[in-house]
Amino acid sequence: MTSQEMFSLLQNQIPQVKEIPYPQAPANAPAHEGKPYRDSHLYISCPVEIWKNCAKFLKEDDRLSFDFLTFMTAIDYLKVPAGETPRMDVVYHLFSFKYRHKCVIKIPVVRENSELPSCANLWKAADWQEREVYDMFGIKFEGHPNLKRILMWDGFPGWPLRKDYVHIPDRYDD
Amino acid sequence: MTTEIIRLPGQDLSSEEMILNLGPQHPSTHGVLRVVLRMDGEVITGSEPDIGYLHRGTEKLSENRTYPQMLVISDRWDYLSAMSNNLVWCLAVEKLMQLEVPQRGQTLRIIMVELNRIASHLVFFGTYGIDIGAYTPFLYAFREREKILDLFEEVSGARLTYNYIRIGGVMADLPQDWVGKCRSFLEWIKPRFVEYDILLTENPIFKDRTVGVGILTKEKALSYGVTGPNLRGSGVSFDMRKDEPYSGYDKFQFEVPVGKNGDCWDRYWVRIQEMKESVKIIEQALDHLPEGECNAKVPRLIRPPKGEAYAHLEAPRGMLGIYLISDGTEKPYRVHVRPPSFINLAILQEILVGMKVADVIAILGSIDIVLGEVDR
Repeated sequence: MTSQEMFSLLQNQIPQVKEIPYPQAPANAPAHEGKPYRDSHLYISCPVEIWKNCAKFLKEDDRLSFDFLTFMTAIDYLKVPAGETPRMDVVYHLFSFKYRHKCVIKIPVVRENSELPSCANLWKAADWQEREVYDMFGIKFEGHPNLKRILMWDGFPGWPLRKDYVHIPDRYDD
Repeated sequence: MTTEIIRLPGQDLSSEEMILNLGPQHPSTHGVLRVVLRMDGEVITGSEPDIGYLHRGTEKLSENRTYPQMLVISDRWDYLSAMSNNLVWCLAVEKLMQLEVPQRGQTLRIIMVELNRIASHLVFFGTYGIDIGAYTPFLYAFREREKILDLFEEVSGARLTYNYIRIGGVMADLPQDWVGKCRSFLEWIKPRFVEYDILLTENPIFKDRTVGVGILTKEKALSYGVTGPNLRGSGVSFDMRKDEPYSGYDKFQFEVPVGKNGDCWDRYWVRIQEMKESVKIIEQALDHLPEGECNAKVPRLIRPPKGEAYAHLEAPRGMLGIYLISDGTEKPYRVHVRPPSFINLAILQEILVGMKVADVIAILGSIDIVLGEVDR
């Protein structure tokens, strides 16, 4: 199945999803910067409200059957071009063992007090990785069986991988 | 003298749940892993791995370092197979920069990565024996590993953190006579695999401890995102070298060993077979080592264009990936490492339940984790 077929299939079911276009260099970019690069598989943007249905469809539909969560993470976009609000993107990389196709889903969320439905019931791999995202970015996952810090200790101040994280010097800095 | 039995009030023979703390300073946890085990008598009713003791914040560090500087840090994830870590970082940056590595560079990379795979699996073989209670295999495994480290020392100068594979190629071409030394090592190691089978693989005591223990079903493995020998032990033939060849792996002839039952012995057996396959790959690579340059032309200041790339490869522990986002400057905007050990370790909370406490170490050892990679 090509990326286009995959996308139209998904769009028939969930009309709110959008395809993220291949990045283009700005018209006045200097030549030494080179052409922007992105992997060739399908990139989808999905609003947070419908992510639960979308994930269920991606996993359970026979024609897509994304049974393997390669990995998930988040990206903090603190500085955005004028006119956009700062956001964080939660990224899911999915793979289907049955059809050997891939798909990337990005879910934009607000930076403060953001909440997102958990996928730990669909892909068990999301269990620890969502905990890691919570640990590093402070994004909460609704319905997660055991949402607590995983790499940092309980009570650690702040969310380390956010772009505005400020390190408080402690005894290890001497 | 008589022994007096003291009965404390309320402490009679009623069974209650017991909490056992395994680690973080236990030698068989292979580093600093703590597992909290809830037990009913000898049977485990719940287990919760507690990680993060070795967390160094690689992903945050990468945002303040240039692309070549990150290579040094990549050595420290899975320190038993630093070559794979170097390679995956280079693959990700090369993808962004749309660079093509010359044939000789690619073949050299494959030789190094496969030698490293043998060294890494040898550590597994040795330490797994110790976990089970057989000390001798460890001495054999480290004798062999020493020879591989000597080979690496000659090409890169280092024995653990090689930093040999660089963006655009490799650090330097092979020293004189290295190919000969490598060949004689391969000839020397082939009969050693027979020794391993006699020592451990077919050893009845070892089989008693591992066959049928810690069964990981195919469905569970896929749902947990398990990759590498653990997934292949469960009967799924999935190897990045075959399924999505990188660095010219498609030109090599080798088999992907697959287990049947998904128990500890199958996971062990897959790794032993993989070493033999790696020997085959290195032999083919040495036979067809192309002449010419080993480095592509790389600008002095590495500043990849805007965009994002995900590169992954088959590390000794599974699918190691780098998700790299560039904003066009000389430092990455965001780096995410997909660490196979971290994701494989998550099955521990399910696979241990219902097992006896004596099997915990056997199961933990068979997953083969490196805590440097789990915590990053």
